[in-house]
Amino acid sequence: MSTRARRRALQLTLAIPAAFLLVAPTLVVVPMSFTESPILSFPPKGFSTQWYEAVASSDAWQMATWHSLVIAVLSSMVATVLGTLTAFGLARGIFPGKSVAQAILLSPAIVPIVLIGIGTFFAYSRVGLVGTMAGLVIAHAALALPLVLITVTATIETIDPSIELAAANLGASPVRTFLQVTLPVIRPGVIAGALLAFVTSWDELVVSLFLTQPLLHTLPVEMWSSVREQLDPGVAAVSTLLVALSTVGLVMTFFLRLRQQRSA
Amino acid sequence: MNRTPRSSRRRATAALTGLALLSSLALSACGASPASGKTTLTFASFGGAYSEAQKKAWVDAYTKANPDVKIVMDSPVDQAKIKAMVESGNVTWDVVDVNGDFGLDSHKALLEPIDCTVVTTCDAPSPGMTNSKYRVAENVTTFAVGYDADRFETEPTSYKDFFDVDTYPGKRGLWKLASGGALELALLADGVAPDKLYPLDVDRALKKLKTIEDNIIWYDSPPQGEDILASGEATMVLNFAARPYDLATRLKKPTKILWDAHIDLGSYLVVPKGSKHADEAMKFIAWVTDPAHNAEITKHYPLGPGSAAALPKADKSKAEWLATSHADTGVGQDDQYWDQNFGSVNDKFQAWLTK
Amino acid sequence: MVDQVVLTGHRPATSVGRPGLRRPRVNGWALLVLPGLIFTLIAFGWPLAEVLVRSFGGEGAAHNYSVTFTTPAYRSALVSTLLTSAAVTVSCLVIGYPYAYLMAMSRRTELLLALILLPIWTSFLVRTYAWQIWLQDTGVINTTLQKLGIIDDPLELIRNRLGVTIGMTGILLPFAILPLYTVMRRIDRELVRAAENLGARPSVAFRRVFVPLSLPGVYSAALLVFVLALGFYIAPAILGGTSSPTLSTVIVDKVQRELDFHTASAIGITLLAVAIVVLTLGSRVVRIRDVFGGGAP
Repeated sequence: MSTRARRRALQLTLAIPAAFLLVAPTLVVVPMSFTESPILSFPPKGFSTQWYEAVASSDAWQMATWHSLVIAVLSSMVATVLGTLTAFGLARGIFPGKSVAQAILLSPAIVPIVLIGIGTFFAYSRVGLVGTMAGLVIAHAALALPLVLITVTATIETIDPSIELAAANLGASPVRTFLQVTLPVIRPGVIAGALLAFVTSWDELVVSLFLTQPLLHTLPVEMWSSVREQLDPGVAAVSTLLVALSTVGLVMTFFLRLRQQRSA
Repeated sequence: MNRTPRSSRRRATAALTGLALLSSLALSACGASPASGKTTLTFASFGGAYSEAQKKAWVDAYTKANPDVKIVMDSPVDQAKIKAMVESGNVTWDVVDVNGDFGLDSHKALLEPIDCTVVTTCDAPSPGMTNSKYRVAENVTTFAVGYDADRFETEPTSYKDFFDVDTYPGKRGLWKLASGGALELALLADGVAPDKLYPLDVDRALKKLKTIEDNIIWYDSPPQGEDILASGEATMVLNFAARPYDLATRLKKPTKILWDAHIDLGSYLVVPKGSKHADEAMKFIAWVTDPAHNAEITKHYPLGPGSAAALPKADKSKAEWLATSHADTGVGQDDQYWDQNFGSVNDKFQAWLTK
Repeated sequence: MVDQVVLTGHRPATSVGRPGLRRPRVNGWALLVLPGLIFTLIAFGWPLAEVLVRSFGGEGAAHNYSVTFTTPAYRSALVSTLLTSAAVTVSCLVIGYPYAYLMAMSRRTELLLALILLPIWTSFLVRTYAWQIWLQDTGVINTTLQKLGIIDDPLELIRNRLGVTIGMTGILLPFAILPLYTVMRRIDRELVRAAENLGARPSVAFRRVFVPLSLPGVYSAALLVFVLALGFYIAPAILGGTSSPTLSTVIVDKVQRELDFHTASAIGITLLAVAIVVLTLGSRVVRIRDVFGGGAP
């Protein structure tokens, strides 16, 4: 075996534990969702689609999926727009009190989430945002903003100042330079940030438990309500559907990136 | 800025297409708004099969008898949310199903007094239940020891066998909640008379638990307690009696209950202070606790009626699974004691668990 | 310069303000901070203020804030929270580093990235229960090993610190791999090659050249994972058993069982303070000042 091949084999071997930890949950959830047994235990018995039928006939699961999707899309858009603007402001802006502003903007990422549920309930109920979709979108966007900020700032740093200078020298207005030269460069960071923001909202349970009302359950709230009472394979069926959905999402992201790479 | 929103919108649109069927159904569900003139009551409960049983037993019948009332069910119940609602003046739950540890005098700031001119069973809860000015017993449940008959050569005959891991091998499941019955069970097994149980001798209970320490699985929530018995991780589990019932009936497992001691506790109905429909809420509570309707729950879930007068009406086919059928060996959990001592007992209990 | 430390660990060259020009006190870019800042203050700062106010009520601030240290159960929960977070951080780094390296070196980055993104799209609740199915006495690992005759009695993989560390590592791994990868991708591979050309063995070149250059990513991944792990409570409750309690669980008990918002808020603020102390200590290594203090002393 050549040195190169051996090195390659070593690299692959050492990466296996991480790959295993990443896919292991999915590996058990998918087969469990097709079990005949009404309980979530190993090994799954027989083959049945009853849990999918149960989920498909349940208004609660469908409504929760729909709410989670809408809230995650809207809150990640808000967080992405605000986070990207803020990243430029912090990276290039000069103003007094910048360090304080930075600390405030990043605090949602480090405050323990169990604290925020009650605080959010008290604050939002003063302005009638509890139990509304707007309230959930705002709260999730606030939690996601630091993640967008962090990913986008990373890419701002990689911008070669000379290309912006060149655009300006060729007569482009600052706004046009920004839109047509700067933004395309940072796009990977913005997309990564938007993805993390989407996931933050999609997975958020603690604050949502306080902000939801019966007709506005999100998926994690519905799942929590379900596993507190019954650990049945219906939860596995919902998860398998979500894994399938996220795989579709990933495939589409790749095509998107492929096209970007071609057009770049 | 134009590219990012567009690409995320494209992603979103595509994701939505994947869910087209679901979303159209969801939209129609969202669109349903209460007809004008109707009162909408929100009834918060614990979710899953339990809420489903309450719906079948009472909610459906009540709304059929009272077409001007619509009842929306919410879950899960979180007592902290009741407090946050009342303190913020934003009360959206009208009737809440709570455990025995909630709704005594210490929570008077959070609850509307029960209108006993409407509710008829204020003074007549099932034996062992404790009504208060702010709550009425809705149903009776119990902590009891369930076991898997297939796992033993000779089956255990008493709850005391829970502590005999030599004769009856296997792990034991206990809830890692201080008021989850473990302390009471240990004291009873150690020979404390049922009427001398409270105030709990926590040190004595912990000493008893220590004798089987290595064999205990401390589970995190009742469904998990059911799960460890079903998966075979544990052979005997102290849990709500509805859990062994579920294993025996739905999963057809050889699960049985040792009824010679069990710790009974109630579920109660309360109305958070400031509910916008307190009067309607009282009427609903009156219906649920009315002896004529109260035993309906026993047809759908293995719970005893909370109203004494409804006891004879309990579903006979489930009799062996109901705490109220084994009332002679039942010990009522002392809600007053737990209301006043949960914090200190829990701190001691958790510190012991951690060691 | 918010994230360089978290993501790359070094202070970048100042790209604005040419040498020789006087730096203005305020420039136009600064305006872009305002929308995000105002949004965060209202949507997040206000709820946090509500919590802070409550932490002074009830039996008083002195009682509320000392309770974490004077109650044995809470003290051990605090210690256990720190230990679990440290264990998760170390295992995320040890396991995540080779993966990030492979990503940075491979042409199949897309596939490796997909493996990272797949689990984060799945609810963390489901992932936690899935880990329970892997690890429990009658779970996938123990059943398989018993069938193969390798072990007689099930291994104790769950309801201890091992279980919670495995589960939380699985959940937090993406947060370690991504910053590591971002830094590694930017390391100039010519430097490693140059060392090899000068006669260094590949392993030596890797250790002496590549690893030091990747350290900023290691530090930032460590801080990110550690801080996020401090706040976990559902995974520890399900996978961790009784030997590894967390301060978050104590807070939840206080809130939901005792309805004691005052003490719960104070314990929560204490946990926040611990996070800040850890970040400050971390800044000695990573110059986190750049993240949270913009270079202020």
